[in-house]
Amino acid sequence: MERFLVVIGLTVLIHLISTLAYSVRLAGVRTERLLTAFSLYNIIFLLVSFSNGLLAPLLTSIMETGIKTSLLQAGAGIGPGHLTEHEAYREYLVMLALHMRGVIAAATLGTLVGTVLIPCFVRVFIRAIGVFEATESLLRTFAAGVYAFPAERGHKRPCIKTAVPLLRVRTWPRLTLPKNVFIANILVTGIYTTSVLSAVYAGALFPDFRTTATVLSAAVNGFATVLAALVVEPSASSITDEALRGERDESDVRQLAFYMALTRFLGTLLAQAFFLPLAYLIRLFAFFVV
Amino acid sequence: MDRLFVVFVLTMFIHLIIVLNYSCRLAGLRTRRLLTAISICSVINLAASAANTIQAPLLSSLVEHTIMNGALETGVTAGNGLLTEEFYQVQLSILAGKLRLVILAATAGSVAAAFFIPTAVNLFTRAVRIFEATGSMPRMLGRLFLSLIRGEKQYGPLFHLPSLKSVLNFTRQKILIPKTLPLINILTCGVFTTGVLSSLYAGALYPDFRSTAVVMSGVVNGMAMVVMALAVEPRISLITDEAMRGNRGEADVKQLVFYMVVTRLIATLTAQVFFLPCAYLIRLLVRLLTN
Repeated sequence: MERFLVVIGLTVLIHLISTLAYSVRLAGVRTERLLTAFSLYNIIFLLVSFSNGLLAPLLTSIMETGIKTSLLQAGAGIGPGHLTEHEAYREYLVMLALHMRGVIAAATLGTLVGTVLIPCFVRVFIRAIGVFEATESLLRTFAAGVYAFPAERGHKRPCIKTAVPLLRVRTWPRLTLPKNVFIANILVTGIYTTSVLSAVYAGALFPDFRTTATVLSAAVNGFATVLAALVVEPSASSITDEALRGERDESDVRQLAFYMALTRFLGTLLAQAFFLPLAYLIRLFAFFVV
Repeated sequence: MDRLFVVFVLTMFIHLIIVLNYSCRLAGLRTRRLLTAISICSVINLAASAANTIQAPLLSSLVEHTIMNGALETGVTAGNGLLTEEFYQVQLSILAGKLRLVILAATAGSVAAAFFIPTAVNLFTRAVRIFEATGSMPRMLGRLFLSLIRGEKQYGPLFHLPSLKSVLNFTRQKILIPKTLPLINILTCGVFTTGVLSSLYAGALYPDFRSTAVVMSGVVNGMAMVVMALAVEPRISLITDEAMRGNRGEADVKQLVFYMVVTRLIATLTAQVFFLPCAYLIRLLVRLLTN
């Protein structure tokens, strides 16, 4: 159970930071220091890579503990390949699926928190970029960023309060940018959010070849990575470039950051629908491979 | 031998692409479409990571063949007994030679890329222009390919070798980057180059826990990645951003790229020196973990 709570916490963190990926562009455009903004964000993103590295063994161990307990309960009479026919194991599967759906919900929560924090984050980041340029010291940059978080001097409202307008739908920016980027973003997020979870569940559905099933999540992720690199990234980048050159209004980048976060949120909801089909697809793949 | 050849070619390709990443900054600067250039580059990076995925099992099988040969010849299958056998020692030195050859492939790939950089800048510039016109990555790739085989002239010349004069020019200019940066770049790139190979060799040095040793390469590479993200990337981004705003000339970024590529070349050579110490360090870490 503690393991499950750690997984939930890490998932919230991962999705919170990932949601901010596009608002970095806004900070970069406003300060005209796009690459610096990216490289500072990449330092925070190291946390995501690290958490992802922790998440995989945690999830797998949750699944394998379940399989082991079920095997022990079923006793010696159960042969390989017959575990899934067992009544107690079916109940366990239902519970595991519920847990995995809980992790997807944690992703939704993380994305929501990230979206609300966007205006605040942009302000903190602009401050951090300025300090980094002046001092070239990451320690001071980090300190300035933390200091800017609750209430920066010279601003009337504390940072957190900048989130309030986002709660009113009427104040949302109008969507004028090409829609295919956002549709692709929903798909990409949907797949990314559930791929590892579906693979772990597929492993539980096919216990004798669970390692093969879990490794196959990389293949599913590969599809999402290619879609992101071909459709989402280039269009978002050229919008940002145009704003940096002054050919587009800065508000378009604000719109981009906001709708990227919003479609990301919808993507994590879609992940609930993708969860079972993807798990069965991965099991099918694993059948073919074995 | 075939397997080693494939690994050699793949490693060359991977390092070629890594070094060409620097030229997309220049192309982005020239076209004033920095992020577009970087996102085009990341499509090409997908090819490098695909090559990496193919390479990993090939390399591990190289190590496991060595261990199997040793076990078959000497009859020792578990424990550290294998290491004291003379036959296995010979096999080990053959394996080390092969892995050092792979490091050499990294050097070869980086050298090839260094000559190819001006051409790559032209190629990326063309790719950015075509992407701007078509607005779609797959269509851009198709049009780029067509324009290459037809030899279309409208985008300007493509092939351009770096001249000795321009290289000498760089060395005469005042160095803009912080003095510690080349040193850090040599260290991190050196560790990157040898990380996986050293961990494979550590696996052969400690056959019972070879999978753990291989997974350790992730830890070593992760540390190099953190240093890169903390010490190298922010600094060079500052300089590129200044050039983008027009506070610096393109020549400054060219000089930056020049020093990054040269230190990368030196790093792949330094990796030969790092190879054994890194392997022993990883073996030590695995011992600590498993005992």
